[in-house]
Order: sequence, then C-alpha cells, then structure tokens
Amino acid sequence: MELEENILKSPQNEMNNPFLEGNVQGIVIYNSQLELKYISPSAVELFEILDLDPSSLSEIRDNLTNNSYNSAILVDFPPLIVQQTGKATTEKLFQFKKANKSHSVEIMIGAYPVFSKETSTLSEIICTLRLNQDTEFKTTNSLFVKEKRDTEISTNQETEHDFQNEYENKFAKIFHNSSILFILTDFTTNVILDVNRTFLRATGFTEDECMGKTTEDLQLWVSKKDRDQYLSILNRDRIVKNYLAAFKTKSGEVRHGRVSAEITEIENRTVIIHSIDDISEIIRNEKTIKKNEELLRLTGSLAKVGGWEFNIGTKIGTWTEQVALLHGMDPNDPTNANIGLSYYKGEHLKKITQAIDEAINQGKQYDLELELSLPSGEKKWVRTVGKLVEEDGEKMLKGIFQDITKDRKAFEEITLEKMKLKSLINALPEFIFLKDVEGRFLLCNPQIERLYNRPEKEILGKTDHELTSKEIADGFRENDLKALNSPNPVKNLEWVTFPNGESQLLETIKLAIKDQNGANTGVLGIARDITEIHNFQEDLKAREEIFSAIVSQAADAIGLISVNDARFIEFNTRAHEMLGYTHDEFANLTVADIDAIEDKERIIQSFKQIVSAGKYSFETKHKKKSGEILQIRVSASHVRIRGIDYIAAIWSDITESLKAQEALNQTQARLSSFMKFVPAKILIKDNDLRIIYANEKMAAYFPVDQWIGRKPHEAFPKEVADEMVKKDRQALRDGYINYEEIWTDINNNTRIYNTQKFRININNSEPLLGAIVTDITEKKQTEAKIKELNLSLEHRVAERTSQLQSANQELKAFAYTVSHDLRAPLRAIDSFTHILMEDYKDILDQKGLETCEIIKKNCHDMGKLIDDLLSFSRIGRSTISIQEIDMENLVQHIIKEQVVTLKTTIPTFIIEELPPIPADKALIKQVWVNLISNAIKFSSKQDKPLIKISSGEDKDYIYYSIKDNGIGFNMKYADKLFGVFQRLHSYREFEGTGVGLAIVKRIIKRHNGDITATSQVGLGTEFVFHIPKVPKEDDIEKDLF
Amino acid sequence: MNLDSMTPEIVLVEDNPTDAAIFRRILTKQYSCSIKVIEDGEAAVNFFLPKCNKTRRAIASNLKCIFLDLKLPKLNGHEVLKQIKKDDYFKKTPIIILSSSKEEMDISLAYDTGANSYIHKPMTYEDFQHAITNATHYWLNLNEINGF
Repeated sequence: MELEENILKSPQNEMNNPFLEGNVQGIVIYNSQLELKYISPSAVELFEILDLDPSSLSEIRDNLTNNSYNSAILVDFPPLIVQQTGKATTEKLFQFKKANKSHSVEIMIGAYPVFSKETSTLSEIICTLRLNQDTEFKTTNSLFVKEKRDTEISTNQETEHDFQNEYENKFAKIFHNSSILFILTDFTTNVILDVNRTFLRATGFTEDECMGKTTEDLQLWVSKKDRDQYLSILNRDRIVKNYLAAFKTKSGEVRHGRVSAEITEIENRTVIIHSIDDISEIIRNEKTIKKNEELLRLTGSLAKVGGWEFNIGTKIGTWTEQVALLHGMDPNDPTNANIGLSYYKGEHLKKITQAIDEAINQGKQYDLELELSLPSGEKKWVRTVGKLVEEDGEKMLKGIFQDITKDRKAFEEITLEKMKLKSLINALPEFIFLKDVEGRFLLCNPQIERLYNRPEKEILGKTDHELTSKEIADGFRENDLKALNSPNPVKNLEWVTFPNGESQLLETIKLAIKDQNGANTGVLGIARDITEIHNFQEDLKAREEIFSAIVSQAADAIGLISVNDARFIEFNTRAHEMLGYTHDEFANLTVADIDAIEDKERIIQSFKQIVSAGKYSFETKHKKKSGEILQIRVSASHVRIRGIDYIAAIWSDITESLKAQEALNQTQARLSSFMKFVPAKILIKDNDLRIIYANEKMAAYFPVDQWIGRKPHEAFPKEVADEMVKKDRQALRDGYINYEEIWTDINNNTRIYNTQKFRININNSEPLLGAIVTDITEKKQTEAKIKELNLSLEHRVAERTSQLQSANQELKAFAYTVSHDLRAPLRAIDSFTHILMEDYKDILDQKGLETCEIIKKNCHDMGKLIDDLLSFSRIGRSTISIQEIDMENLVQHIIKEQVVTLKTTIPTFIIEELPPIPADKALIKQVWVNLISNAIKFSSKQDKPLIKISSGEDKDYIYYSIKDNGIGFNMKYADKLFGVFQRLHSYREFEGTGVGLAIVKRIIKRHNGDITATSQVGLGTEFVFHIPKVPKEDDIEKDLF
Repeated sequence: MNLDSMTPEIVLVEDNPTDAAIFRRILTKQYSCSIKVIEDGEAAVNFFLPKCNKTRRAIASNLKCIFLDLKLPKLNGHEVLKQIKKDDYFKKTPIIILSSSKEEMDISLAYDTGANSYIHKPMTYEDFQHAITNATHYWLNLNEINGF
C-alpha cells in the first residue's frame, strides 16, 4: 500500500525509489482489468524503443519471443499472470521481436499485485520494466558507429540526402537517449566536442561545463595512470575496447565503467568517440546476483527445487545440485541426463517419455507429478516441468524439478484422513449432517440419505423443505434455529418417518458452527435412533408396573430376606396375611418367628446353604399369629444385590392342597385298581392327543410303551394317525363318539374293536380324551350268523306261509266237500236205516232193530263230529262283528235252552253279576254254550251238581268264570285241554267230539283274549276267559287251528 | 192222471238221487201232490223257463214251491235261483234252498237273490223229515191262505 502511494505521488522519482533500486527503468500501472492507469516517462521511452503501445497488452504479448531461460513456468506477460494468480511474479527476461529485426531487445519484466484495503480484491497491477544490462550493447554501439560512418559516406551522395537527415535525427535521438555515456573529443587537443544527455545525467555536469574542456579538466578520471594508459593504447591501436576504469562525477562519486574509444574522422576532423558503459550497477548487481544465487541455491535446497537443461543437439544435460541430490547422486559427478529417465518406472516412465517427446516435437510444455524410483528402492514424488527453449539457435529442453514427496505424502495423508473421516461419518449409525445458516445441507452421511431416500449429491445444497413434507421440515428448521441461537448444543427428540413407512425416534444434538468472529456459519447435527431405547424404557416402565402388580397380587407369598439376620426386607401382602399379621407386625419378624420347626441358628445355617447352592426348594411348617400350623412349600434362591446376600423366597400354604392330594391319591388308587381289572382296554390322551395312559389290559395286547408320550403321528403310520386324529378331534368336540375299527394286536391277531372316545372335562384345565376299546369280534361273528339265519328264516317263513296259504285253500275246499259230500252219505245211511226199520219192522227181529239203531247212532255221532269240525273251521275264517253283549241275559238264555233238553239232574246255577262286553254275539254265545254244556256234562254225575258263573275286571280285560263241582281233570293234561280232538275222558264216560273247547279257545283268541282252565280231579273245574274291554284289531289268519 | 205228466206242484232240484229219494218219501208220506225232481241246474232252468210263455205260465200257476239244492252240476243253485226269480211268472213262487252248506256266504247270497227259506240239510232222517214237513206245510198253507 505504501508502495502504491509513493508511486502515485512521485512517479518521476522512481529512480530514487528504494524498492525499485537504481536500475529500474520504468513503471507501468494497470488496474485489475489490465487497463493502463499510469506509465512512467522512462517506460514511455522503453516502449518507444520497442515500438509498442503499452496499453495494448495483446500487442505486447504477441511480440514476446521464447524468453525465459531461468524458468519455463512463466511464459506470459507478467501482469497477466498476476491478474490470473493474484501473486507477484519474479522478474523475468523477455525478448521482443518487433523492436529490431536483427537484434532482439531484452527487458527484465516483473509485476506484483496491489489489493484494495476495503474489499481485499485486486485493485492494481504494478509492472516494472528494466533493460537487460548484460546485453552486449557495445556491439550494437560499434555497429551503430559503423552505420553512422556509412551514413557519413552516403551523405556525399546527393540522392541519399533526405535519408541522411532522417538518419542523423535518429542518431541524435539514440545518441542522447542511449544508456551509454558518449563523449566526443578532439584527437589533438583532447577538448570535449560533445556529450550526450546520459553522460550529463550520469556525471552531473552541464553541457556548458563540459564544452571546450578536457576530461582532465573535468577530473573525470579517478586515476591519471588509467587515463594515460588508455590514451596510449588508443594512440597505438586507434581503438580501445572495454577499458575498465573508475571515474568521478561532478559530485565526486566514483563510478565504474567500461570505456571504449575509437579514433574516427568526422567532418574532416579527427575525433575520438568515447563511450562509457556505466557498470557500477553491474558490479553492484554481480554482488547482488551472487548473493541471490546463493539465496536461490539455498531456497532450492530448502524447497527441494532444482533446475535442469538438456541440449537436444549435443545430448548434454546439466542439472543443479538439488536435482542430483533428488536422484540420490553426487552433485559433482557429471552424469548423462538420459540416466534421469531410468528413474521412472511403468506408467510414470510412459508419461514422462511422452511429455518429453511432445515438448521437443510440438513445443508443448509439460508439468507432471510423477513417482521416482531410486536405485536404493526409495520412492519419491517429484513435480517436473519442462519446456523446449531455443537459445542461440540451439534447442534446449529446460525445466525444473521439485521434490514433492512430502507434499504428496501430506496430500495423501490429508486425502486418507479425509477418506477416514468420510468413512467414519458414513459408518456411524448416527445421522450426521452439516447445514448452512439457511438450512442447506453442506454434508450428510448415508443415514441422512436413507431418511430422504436420495443420494448425497441430491441432498447437498437443498433444505429440508425441499426434501420432505412441510410439517416435518418445519420441525427440523425450528430445532436448527434453536441451535443457531444457543451458545450450547441443543438436544431434541424428533420422530421421523422413513420413506418405507418406518418411524424412528431420533435424539438429535445440534450445534451452531461459528467463525473466528463468532458469527454463525452453520449447524452441525448428530442424531441417533433411540426408538429401541425409548421402547425399552417404555417396556421397562410397563414391566415394572406389571411386576409390582404381580408381586402384590400374587397368590403366593413373596419376600426378600436378609441372610444375616433372617429379617424380611421386602414382602408382599400375601406374606403377612397368610399368617394373620399386619404389614408392620410382619416387618419386625424374622424367619425364626414364623417357622414352626427350625430355630434361628439353624435357619441362618440353612440360608448359608442356599447361598452356596443358589437355589433350594423345601417344605416346612409355619405358625400363624393365632398359633395354627400351616404346611408351607418354599422355593428359595440366593440373590446378591449391591454386594449384600439375600434370599428371594416364594412360599405358599399347601395345607389344603396336601389334603386334596391325599384325597386324590385315594381316588387314584381306586381308579387304578379299576383300570387294572376292568376287561376293557383303556387309553387316555391329553388335549394334544398325546397318549398319556394305558391300562394293563391295553398293555397286554398293544405295544403301549412305544405310544406313551407320543402324538398319533409320532406313533402310527400316517394313514392310521390321520384317521385317529380325526376321530379324537371329533370326540373332543362332540363329547362322545363310538365306532368300530380293526386292529392287529401284538400276538398278530386281527380283531374287531368297538372304540368309544369321550371328552374328559377337567375344571380349569384342558380336557383329556378317554378311549375304551372293546373286542367285539365274537359278537360281530354271532351277529353275522344271526343275520344269516334271519335271512334264511325269512325265506323259510315265506315258503311256509305260501304253503300254509295253499293248505288253507285246501282246507276250505275240504270243509266244503265235507259239509256236502261227507254229510250226504251219512244222511243216506241214517235215512235208509230208518226206512229199513220203518218198512221192515215186521221182518226184523229184535237184534236186527238194535243193529239198525247202532248204525243210526254212529251216523249221528259222525254228523256231529263233522258239524263241529266245520264250525271250528268256520270260526277261524269268518269275520267277527263286534257289538255290546248283555252277558247276563245271554247266559241266562243259554242255561234255559240247555236245561230244557236236559235228561239228567238239573244242576244248581249260581250266576253272579256279569258285565256287558263288546264282542261277536254269535261266537260268544257259542263259547257259553260249549262251556255251560261242558259244565253240565261233567258235573252231571254228582249228587248235587253246582255251576257257578262269575266275573271280574283285570286291567284292560273283563274276565268271566264258570266253575263246576264235576269230576275235574288232572292238571298235567291242561295243555291238551284246548286241542282239537283232545278228550280227557273216555267217550263212554262223557259224550263229545273233543272239538268244543278248541272252538272256545279259538273264539276267545279271535277276540284277543285268553282262556285258562284249573281243575282238581274229583273236585271240579274252573274255566276263566278274559276279553279286552276295548276290542282290538282282529287277525284272521293268525291261528288257523 | 199221470202225476209225472202233469205240471208238478212241487219241484226238487237235486243231483243226489239218495237225497232226492229220501225227500220224495218224506213228502209223499204226508202229501198227495205231484213232485218233480230235476237233477241239474241247466235242466231246471230249461224246465221252468221254456220259451213258450203259455207253458211257463202253466208251470208257474200249478207250482206250489221249489226245493233247490245249491251244489248242482252245470248251473249252480244260486244261478238257477236268480234266473227263476227274474221271471215274472215265478216271482211269487216260494223257493226253498235245501243245502248242506252252512256257509254264511251261501245263506246270505241265497236270501239276497230271492230265496224264501234256507234249510240246512239235516243229518238224520228224523230231522230231515221235520224240516221238509214244516217247510212244505208252511209254504203250502201260506199259499192257500193267501189264495195263491
């Protein structure tokens, strides 16, 4: 800044500017857009020499030739480089081709940037221009003089007059503007004829002070001896070249110069032209350069930068010490530069070879970073820059060489660190992001990618509002702003929903990121999924509640007991209530207070055993507050809580359950006895159909050992098990099923079984399945036989029935025949016997008449027999017509009829009340006729025959009885009494066909009644017949005989 | 006058000659009337129902009663009864069934067809004599009373 001010304030003082040194020839100042802002007068002169417009940068650039031989990096016009890089350039040598076709003009150009105080941006570029003083100007000078002389020659030529004038003008211009001091003296007098402005400026004399004086007068020479020698050389050779001498300025300052002189003729005068090249600066510069070179060398070694060049023509390469050191070589050992290429391997060799080839053949500059493989095996990274330079017509490849191993390593390390950091961030299960103050993502890890279901590159630069719903984004932004406004990290809980619908609870820590000035630059966020923790805590809370509910509600007593003193540290309600204590009372008790068996010492002893065993279950007795003793089962285990030993115990009152157990045992014993001796095979299965019990009978026939504890599919083939499961399930569902199945027992007998399965309901438990299997093989066989028999029987019955039907038909026909055809001959016999007796009674003797009577008697009996038989037959076949019969009246009437024709003693009749009955009157009459005539007949031989007729009711029947005091019969013939043609008495004793009672029985039967006879020989007989009060359906075919 | 040539007063339709003989003996012992015995049903119908109305009327007017057995050859007694009773001339002629059958069916059918009495042929001569005499007496007297 200071610099700029100085320049701007006193541009004409550039020579005195301590920064610019004395050798600065000109300053040009450009603004940041490279527009010309200021140009110093000497710079104007320089541009004039170059014949270039300082404001036209493109023109300047176009006129730059291949220039630098110190560095190939800076190829452009330095102000342009400054504008591009913002950094100062070192002073570089440039050649300009336009100034002089045959001679290049070389100018040292440097530039540096000036930044604005307010904006820190580039405001100006200052460019320094300096004519290269190492250039062999003398050559130019002498040439110039020669040209001048030529010009003088040509002045004589009229035709070239104008050109001469112009030439002289130009000469005057160069003469005066040249940086060389010119003095023109008279050869003979040594008086100064002319000096140029440079001389005046350099020496401080005025033109007037010089004119007409000698150099001695001006005391220009510091040493007279130098002057004398100089002059003597001049006189002898007429020319002096580069005579090094010291001379003094007007102010007495000593300067050094190379003095050259030549004796020449100008305008017919012999004159001497002295030129002094002021080399004070050079001498001083040489010192500076030496110093700089040393500095450069030092810098090079420190920066590990070296330079090299390679003459393409001669194939000779040179390199600086640093390059040699880089290659691990002795810097003093001259080496073929081709060796350098042998240090590259693989792709690096390929790259450098190609780059060099392109540099030589196409003039391309290269700038590569390559790996150098040293013979020692060491690897180094180098930056190598090379460029083809044409120097004095020779093609040179020049370049620099820099050891960037450390940089490279550092870069690699940084890259590695970055990679590590990135991987770390990516690998972390946490959500990590960095947002700027506007909420735009600057960084995010895969968790964030997952949240938004987008790759990182689509997230970066976006805000939450662009990535998710407004509602969620508003929440995020709110928390971001909270963090930005807080000096401390802010912790939040945020519910987020993933694109797949999953929700997570995130615990987010957000932190404002600040710059040095404390201004917010962004928000760093780290979030972790605490859904599980959250859920776990919720679970834990719920479990605690459940646990305490369980403990307090438990039916068993639960307690935590101190091992040391057997006190109850914690216990539930059941613990103290079981023994009838209050909570507070119980809290003051020890185990010994409630235990009815053990004393305190032994209890503590047993505690120690529990501690060592870990777990222990046992039964004991507890004493209630009331003194009652309870049977207790205890399950105790050792727990260590914060270094203290406790017994955690659960105990329950098993007094009742022991009683129940005893009862159960008895039941069990009874049941198992039954099970053992019951003939059926019995199985019990659980609700999963696992066979859990089989009785002895089952075990005797089946391999139940292989079944117990197994499910059907584990014990039987699949088809069998499938069917079994089906039946079992059906029984469990319906309560009972009954079916037949076939099993082959262990004796390889295949039997038919009837299987009954039933559900065994058990209170508060899953039901069991019972199965009773009964061998029904014999029964089945018998059934089959019966069935077979029944079938054949039915067949036989049908056959029989048909036989009977035809027999019946025959009987009908027979009866008809009997009634017609059998009676007719009888009648004929009887009638003609009668006729015989009538017509021949005079002829027949007594004996003949008696014989005829016998014939008639037999005819009569036979007729009676036939009539009875027909009657009997007719009763079986005729339909019966039911009507209410006045039995008393009927009986009275019959007795009268019977008595009328009676030839024997009339018996005494006792007739009791006889209720009416619905029946067939004709048939019932026949019954009474037969019974009464029977009674009369069989009691007829008594002195006082007595017949008693009575009746009674028996359920649905009315019975009638007729009892006589006749001869009676032996009851062993009772079953023959009602048979056809059954006679119990001889015909001689009592007449009768023997069909009468059979007819009676048939009639009673046809009325669905019954008749019985009881008798005692000699005391009489009683017949009792029952007839239903309500007549029943008659079955005509039921009993034919 | 030949009794047989005259139109009979009593006709017995009976195939059994023994029964017919017994019948004839019983009747002739008590009545002096003309008796004709016809041995089968067809002959009976032919006799009673000749084509000539005059003859028929003559037979009917002279006839006192007909004794008819049921079990007859060719045409049974029921059929004969039916045909005779259908004829206007014989409507009022008493027809007494004289049968061995005691079958309910025979009895009811005979009455339904128009029989005037049903006599079950008794087994003994005495009973037969009673039955025939009574029946003949009844129907002959009835005829006389009513002016037949």
